[in-house]
Amino acid sequence: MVIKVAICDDIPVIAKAIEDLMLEYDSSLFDIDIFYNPFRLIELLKENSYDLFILDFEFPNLSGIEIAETIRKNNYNCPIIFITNFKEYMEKAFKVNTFDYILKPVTKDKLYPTLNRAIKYLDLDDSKFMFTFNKVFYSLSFSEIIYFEKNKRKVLIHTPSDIYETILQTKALLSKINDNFVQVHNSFIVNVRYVKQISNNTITANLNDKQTVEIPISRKFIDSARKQILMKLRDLI
Amino acid sequence: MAIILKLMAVSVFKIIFPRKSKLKRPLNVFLLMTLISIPIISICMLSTAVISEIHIINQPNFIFILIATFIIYMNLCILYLYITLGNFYEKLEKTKTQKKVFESELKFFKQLKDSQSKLYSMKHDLKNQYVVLLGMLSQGDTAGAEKYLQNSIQTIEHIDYYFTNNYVLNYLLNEKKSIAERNGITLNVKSFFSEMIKLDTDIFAVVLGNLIDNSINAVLRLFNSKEKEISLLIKQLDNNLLIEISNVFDTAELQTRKNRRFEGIGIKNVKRIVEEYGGIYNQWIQDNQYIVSILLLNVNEKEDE
Repeated sequence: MVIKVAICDDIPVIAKAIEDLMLEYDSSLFDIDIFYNPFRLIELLKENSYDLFILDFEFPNLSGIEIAETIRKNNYNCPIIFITNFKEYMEKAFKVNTFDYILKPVTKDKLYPTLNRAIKYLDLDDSKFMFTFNKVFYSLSFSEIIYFEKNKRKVLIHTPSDIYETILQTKALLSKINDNFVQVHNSFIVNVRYVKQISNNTITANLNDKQTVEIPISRKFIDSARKQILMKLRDLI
Repeated sequence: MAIILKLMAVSVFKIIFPRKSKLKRPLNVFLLMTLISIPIISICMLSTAVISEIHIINQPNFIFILIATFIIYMNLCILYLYITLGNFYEKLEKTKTQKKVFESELKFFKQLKDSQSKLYSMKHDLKNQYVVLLGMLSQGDTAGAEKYLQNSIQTIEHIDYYFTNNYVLNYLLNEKKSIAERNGITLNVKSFFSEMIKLDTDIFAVVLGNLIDNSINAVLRLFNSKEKEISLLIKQLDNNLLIEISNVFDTAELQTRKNRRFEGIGIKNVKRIVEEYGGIYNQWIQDNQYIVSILLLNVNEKEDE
């Protein structure tokens, strides 16, 4: 798995320094394109896409926010990291869903923790949840599963669009899932990335942009589930 | 026996009547009745037992049933009293935490007032400075005016650090940073969150104030003063806000301050508020770092666009 990265800075030395740091981080993980001119990046976005953007915040005739707005037209979720001299303006960058900012000069200490989180956020783990139902073999990526519901012998697999079914014991199910999932009830296992809100006895999860779904939490699991959700989400924020 | 009964009656009256005149709040009739019935019933029981000894009533079964009923009744009364007391203490506890919250809020507003008056006097100074500048300029002393301006810029720049656009939070962080610096502690803050967040001032005043205070105190207790550093992170992504504070702490305190490990001053309030906002609180130790993490979910204002 390779992460496609676009670095955009009108000062070549800075762009090069970031690239070097990233290659030092992991030389095989990133496929990096460097742009000195933001308009060229915008131009190229029409046919190209990237997984991660590292942008200078101040250009002579354009602000980083404008580039980010163009990026967001097509892709709402890819992380954007700004490189800036002044943190004073960064909260304005929030409306374009900025992932993080790094104050110049860019150093290992500042860049690597942010990269760590960005990589986790991108969820590179492309392992799939595989199961059979009615003799048909299915393979779903974990990121599209919102929650598992155990119903007697069956396991219902809820995704934004469909509900799949399979037959599996809870123990076997727990051993098959990746660490984005938290058991909140004897018969419910939730993907933390979809958690929207937690109350005393339910979790509200995002079904899609508009709809949500309520998942019960049981007393037995609530304390451990809440802690697990916190510890998993804090790595992504 | 008549004397004993008389004494009892007198003491009961003495307990009840002077109280009644004192009590201005509405009396809980149930509670009163339960309270009175216990001594009365126990006296009755005592007397039945005494009577049965003298064999006036020759029905042992009847007496047993009577005594059993009395005992059950008294147990019920005690249970009821226990529940009432429990409720009362629960209320007391709640009032106490609320009082703490109000106190810390009050403290915060007092500080705010102080800084306001500081600002006011600065404004006053500024006016005087302008008069001086005007004088210098009218004399044609531009070099002097320049120097004067540079000096005043320097004094202004040292007053405030910038942390966030939220001025209340910025003010609080500045206050805490100056307290920390006075004690030789570095307070590193990274904040990155939307201005549209739907959190009240008490989150900032109580949660952050308490968290930073606790960290400062913990760092102050350190013997070797090399690592006097506190890091605070306030970061939002999508709808979730993470508040995380970490400081080096003396691991020996795990033994010496066993009881306080979980309930530091004000932590109860922090937990209560976090819970009110449907958030999650967690604290743990990693190497010699003490970390408190708070996750608040769904913090964005509903989009009305």
